[in-house]
Amino acid sequence: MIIEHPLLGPRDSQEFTCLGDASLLQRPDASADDAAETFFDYQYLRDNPAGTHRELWYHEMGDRSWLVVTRDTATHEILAVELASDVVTAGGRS
Amino acid sequence: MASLTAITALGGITAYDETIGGIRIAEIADTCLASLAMRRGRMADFEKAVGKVLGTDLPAPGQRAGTDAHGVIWMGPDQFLVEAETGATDLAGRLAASFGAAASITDQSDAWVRFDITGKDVPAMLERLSAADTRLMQGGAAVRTPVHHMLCVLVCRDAYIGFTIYGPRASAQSLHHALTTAAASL
Amino acid sequence: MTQVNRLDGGLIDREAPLDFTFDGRRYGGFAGDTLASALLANGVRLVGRSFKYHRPRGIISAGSEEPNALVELREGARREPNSRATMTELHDGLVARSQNRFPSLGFDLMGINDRFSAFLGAGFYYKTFMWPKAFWERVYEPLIRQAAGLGALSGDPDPDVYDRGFRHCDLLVIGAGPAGLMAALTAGRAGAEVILVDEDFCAGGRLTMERESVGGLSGNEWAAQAAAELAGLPNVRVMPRSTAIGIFDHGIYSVLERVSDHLPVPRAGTPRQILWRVYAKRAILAAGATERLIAFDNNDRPGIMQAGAMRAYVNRWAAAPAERIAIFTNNDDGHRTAADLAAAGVEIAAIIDSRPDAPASNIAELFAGAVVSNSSGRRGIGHVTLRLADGGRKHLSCGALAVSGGWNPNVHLTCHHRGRPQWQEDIAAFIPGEGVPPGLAVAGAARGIFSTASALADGRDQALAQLAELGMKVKTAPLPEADDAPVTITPLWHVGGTKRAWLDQQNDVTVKDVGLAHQENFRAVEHLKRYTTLGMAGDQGRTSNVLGLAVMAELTGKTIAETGTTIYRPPYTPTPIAAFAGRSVGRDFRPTRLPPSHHWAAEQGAVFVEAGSWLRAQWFPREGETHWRESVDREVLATRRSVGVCDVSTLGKIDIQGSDAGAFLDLVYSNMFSTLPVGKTRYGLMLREDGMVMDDGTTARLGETHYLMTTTTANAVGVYRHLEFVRQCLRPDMDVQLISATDSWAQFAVAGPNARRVLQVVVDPQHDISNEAFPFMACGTISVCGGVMARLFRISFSGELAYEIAVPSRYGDAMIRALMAAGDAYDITPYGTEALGVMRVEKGHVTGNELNGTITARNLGMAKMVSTKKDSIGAVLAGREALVAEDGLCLVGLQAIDGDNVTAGAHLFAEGTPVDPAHDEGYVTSAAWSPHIGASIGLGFIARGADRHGEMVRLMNPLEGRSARARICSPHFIDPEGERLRG
Repeated sequence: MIIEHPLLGPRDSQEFTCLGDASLLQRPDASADDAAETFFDYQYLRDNPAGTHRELWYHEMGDRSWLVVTRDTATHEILAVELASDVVTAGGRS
Repeated sequence: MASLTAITALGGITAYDETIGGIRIAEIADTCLASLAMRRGRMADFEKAVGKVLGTDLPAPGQRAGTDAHGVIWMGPDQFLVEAETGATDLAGRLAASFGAAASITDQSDAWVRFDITGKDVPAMLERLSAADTRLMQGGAAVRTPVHHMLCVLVCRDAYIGFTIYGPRASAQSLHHALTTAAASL
Repeated sequence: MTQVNRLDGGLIDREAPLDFTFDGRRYGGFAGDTLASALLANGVRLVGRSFKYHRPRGIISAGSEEPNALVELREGARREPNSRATMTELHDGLVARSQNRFPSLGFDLMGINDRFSAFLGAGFYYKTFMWPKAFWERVYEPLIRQAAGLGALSGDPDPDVYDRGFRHCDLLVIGAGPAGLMAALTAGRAGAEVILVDEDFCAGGRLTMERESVGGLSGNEWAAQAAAELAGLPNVRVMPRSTAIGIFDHGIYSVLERVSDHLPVPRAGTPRQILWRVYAKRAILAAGATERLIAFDNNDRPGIMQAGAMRAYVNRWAAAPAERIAIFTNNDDGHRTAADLAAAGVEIAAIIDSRPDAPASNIAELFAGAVVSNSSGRRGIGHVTLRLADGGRKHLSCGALAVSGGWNPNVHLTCHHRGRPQWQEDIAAFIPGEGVPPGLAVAGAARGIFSTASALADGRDQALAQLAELGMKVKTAPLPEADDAPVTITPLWHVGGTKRAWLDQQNDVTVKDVGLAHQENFRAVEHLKRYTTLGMAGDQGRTSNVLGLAVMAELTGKTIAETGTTIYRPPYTPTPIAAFAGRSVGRDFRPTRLPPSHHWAAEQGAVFVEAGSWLRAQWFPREGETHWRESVDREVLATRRSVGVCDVSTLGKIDIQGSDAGAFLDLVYSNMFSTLPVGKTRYGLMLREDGMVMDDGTTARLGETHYLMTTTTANAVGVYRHLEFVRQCLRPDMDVQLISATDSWAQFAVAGPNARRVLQVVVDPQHDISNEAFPFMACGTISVCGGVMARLFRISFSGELAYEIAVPSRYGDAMIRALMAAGDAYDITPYGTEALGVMRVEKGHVTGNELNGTITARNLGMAKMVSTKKDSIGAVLAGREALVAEDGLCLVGLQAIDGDNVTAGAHLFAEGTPVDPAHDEGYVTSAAWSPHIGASIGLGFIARGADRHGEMVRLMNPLEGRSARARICSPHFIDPEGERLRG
C-alpha cells in the first residue's frame, strides 16, 4: 500500500508499523470513579469493521510521525491521512 | 593518561574512500551533527534563532536548507538535524547556548555514519537499495527512508550524481557492505 | 550436427552458431534461438514425461505459458529444474536434461502409470490409499512423491545472488507487442516517465512471430525501430526479460527481471535476477493473449502444438516442427498458419476446420465441418484420425499438428485485486471485467482486441487516456498502417471420444476428470480446480482453464459466462523463492549492529552471539580453556573478586528533554521521576496499558529539563515507538522532545570491588568519584583521559560496586583499551553476555526472560513501584482483581540440589503432587551455573513464592523428559542487603 503522508507525500506502507484502531487516542481519565471499566473498554474492546476504519500507523522507518489513516479495510482504499497529534489537538483534549 | 584516539564508524583511523565502477563511496568522519528540536510553543524564538545562528530559514519537510558548510535537515515535525563541516567543535554546546529554552539539543556527531556517494551511476545503485525516487531528487532534497533495511537519511547534494547517506553508526559495516555490493552489481 | 528442421530466414543470427546438449547429446543452434526452437530445429520432438502418467510430451507453445517442455538446466549447484524450454535463451554450452523419466526419456519405467490410468484419476489418492492409516506418511506418500513431480533441486546452496530494487514511473507498460509499443511511444514522446517491460528478450510480441507489415515495414522491423526510438528517450526505460508478476495496492507492481539467465554464469558481482518493486502512477496491461488447444483423444502427443506457436517457430526461428504438418482449427488462424507454413516450404497435410462454413483454402486440402478425433504414433504424432462432416472417418499421416482453438486474453494481472473476467461471446473468450486494479488500463489483445491495427490504436488511446488522468496533455499521433482482419470463430472445446483427452497437460487433467468432478458434485469452478488440480500447476492453467470450465459448463448445462473463472493470483509466471529473498540471505539476512568495542573484542578472540541485530561478545576464551563454562566461570569470579569490564552500549538510550520531561516520565513509568534530583539515576518500571511490565531500565536526570532513559537491548525500538505514541497520540500538549542516543555512546560497565580504583586512573583528576562524592545511583558529566567528555553512572547490574562509563562512540575502541590498561594492575577481566547473565541471575535482576508479557510489577515483588499518587500507563488495569490476588505468582530464586540442574522452561510442582496442569504452580524463567554458589541456580515464578523460601519443589520438563529438585530461595543469591554496590 501507499500511504499519503500529510507532510512527506506518498510513502510505501513498508516504512510503517500499524497499531490498529485509532480509538486508542481516547485514553480515559484515570482519576474518574469508573476508571476500571473505562480502561477495560479502552484496552480491549475494538471495532473490526469491513469498511471504513480509522487506524494508527507509525512512520517507524521515516519521520517517526504517528498518523491516523482512514482506510477501507475491504478495498484498502485510503480515504484520509492526518497527523495523530493534530487529530488529538483538534479534538480539544489538549 | 594519554588522550583517546578516535576511530571512524567503519573502524579506521582514516576514513574509507573507494571508487567502484562509476561510483565513489567516501566515508566522511568529521562532520559535526546535532539534533535540534523545537520546544513546544516557542516557534517565534526558535525560527529567529535558526535564522541568526544558522543563517537560513527552516527547511520544509523533505528538505535540507543552508550552505554546503552549514545545513539544517528536516527530520520530523519540529525536529531537525544540524550538520556542520570539519572544525565545528562542540556544535551542540554552541547551539544550546544560542537557542536557550527555545530548543532541545542533542549531540548526534557519533550517532551516524556518513557516506558521500558520487558518480553518474548513483541512481542506478540507489534504486537497488532504497524505495526513494532518487532519480527525481533535486539538490537540497532530504528523505528519511530505509536503505537496505536500515533507517537512513538520504540527502541530495547534486541532482543525480551526488548524495549523502547518513546511517546508524552501529550499522556502519552493514551499510557499507550494502553500498559497495550494490555499486559492484551494476 | 545438422539442424534437420532449420528453414531459411528468421530472426536468428546465423553468424553466431551455438553448441548445446540435451540429455547428453550435442546439438547446434544460433543466437536468437530458445532452447525450444533449437530442439525443434534439430528434429527433437520428445522433451519430457508428464507429471502423473509419464506420458511422452513435446513442446506446445512458444511462450511463458508452456506446460510441457519443462527441463533441467545447467549442472552442479546451478542445476535448475522445471525451466521452460520456450523461455530459455540458448547460450553456448547450455546443458539441458529432460525430467521425470527413468532410466531414459525414450524408455521410462514409470510409463506403466499410464496403463493404470483408470486407477489414477482425479483425487485417486484420497480414495486409494486410505488404509492402513499409518501407511500414508511412511509408505504411500513417499512412493507417490517419488513417482510424481517434476525435476529435482541440486540440494546445494545457490551460488548466484539475487537482488531487489525499486523503480518509479508515470506509466508502466506491461508487454511490448503492438499495443504496448504504441502506448510506450505515445507516452514516451510526450515526456512522461515510462517503464516498458516484456518477458521476451526482444521487443515486438507477436510482431516478431507473424508475417505481416506495419507502417510499410515488416512487423518485426517496425517493432525494432520502435524499441530503438524508446531506448533513445531519456524518460523511457525498456526492460526486456522482465515479467510483471503481480499487482499490489495503490500502483505497486512486482517485476521479475532475469538479468543473467541467458548467460552461462552471471557477470562478476551482478545478480542472476532482480525483483523490482515498481511504483507506477498509471499502468497499461498489454500482455497479449494465449492460444488455446482443442481437446481430443490423445491430444498430448509430441508434435501437437498451438498453431500460433508453430507460426512463431517457422517465422521467427526458422524451425519447422516437422516436414508435413496438419492443421486443426475452429477459426481463421488455422488458415493463416497454413499460409505461413506453406510459404516457408512446409508441406501441409490438410486443414481440418470444424466450421461447416469454413472459408475455402487454396493452400491445402480442406476438411470443413470435420474434427480431429484421435492421434497415434510412438513418442510423437504420426497419424491423426478425422471425423468428417458426413460422419465418415479418415486417417492422415503428419509429423506435427497445429491446433487453434481461439485466443484467451491474458487477463491474469487484472484479477490480482479479485477482478472477475467477463465472457465476450463474439471472440469466445474472457476479457477483463469488474475489479481491474485502480490505475490499470488494459490494451490490445489482453482485452480481446486482436488485430494488429486495432491493437496499435488501442495502445495509443489507452496511453492518451492514462496521461490525461495524470494531467498531461498530449497530441494524438498518427498510427502506422497494419493488418486489420476481423475475428471469426465458432467455439469448439473438445471432440467427444472414448479415450483420454487432455485439458491440463502439466497436471495431467483430462476431460474425464472434469466429468468425475461433476459426477461427485465438485461443480463450482473453484471446487473443480481443487478436486482435479486443473490449473494448479506452475502455468496456472493458461492453456487449460477455459477449456476445463467450458467442459464443466456443458455438463451442468450452464453458459460459460455463468460458470465463470477461478481467480488468478500472483505470481503470473513461476518465480524462484531466491528472487523474493534477494540479498537477505545468510549473514546478510538483516543488518548487523556492532558495539563500539567490536574490533577490540575480535582481537581478543571473543566468541560472538547475535542479540537482536547486535553482535555481542559472549565470552572471551583464554588459552587452555576447552569449554565455554570455564571461560564464563572465570569471568564471573574474576569480576566478583577484583574487577571486570563489559560493553553495554547495546542498551537503548533515549534522550528526553523539555519542560514537561519529568511529567512525561511520570506518565510512562509506574514510579516517580519528576522528583528525581539532577545528578541522580533511578530504576524505572514501564508498564503496558494492560498492567503488564513492558520494560525496565535506569533513567538519569542530567539537567532540570533533561533526562536520559535506558531500555533493555531487546526493547529499544519498541520502547521508543511507545514513547512517541504517548508523546504524539496521548499528550501532544506536553513540551517534551525525544531522540535516540543509542548509537552515540560507547558505554562500558566496570564492575567489581576494584572498579573505582580502575576508573580513577582514566577519569580526569578534577572529578571526585569517591563513594562520598559520587554515591550509588549518582550520575554526571565528566572527562576522561585528558579531556574527552564522558558520562558516568553509578549503577550495577552485577550486584558489585559498579559504574557505567560512556564516551562518544568514536572513542569507544580507545576507551576499552584504556580501561584494560588501567585495570592491568587489578587483573581486569573483560566479560561477555554469558557472565553478564550469570551475575544478574545471582543478583536476582530481571530481564526479558522474566518480563515475558504476562508479568506484573506485583509478580516481581515490585508492587510498591506502581505509584498510586499519579496517573501512569498501566496503573489502572494493574489493579484488576485477578492481578492483585494474594496467591499470585511471585519471583523466587531456585537452587538445584543433589547435583541437579535448573533448566529454563521447566514447570514447578510441589513435592508429592501429580504432574498435571491442575497442580502446575509456576515455571523457571532463567537458569545459570553459579560459580559463586557452586550450584545450578535459576529464577522463576511460583504461587505465593515470597512465603515459600526454603521449600522444596520439583522442576518438570516433560518436553525433554527431564526433572530436577530445587530449593526455593530469595532471588538475591548474593549480597541481599546490597552492601557491595554501595561500598
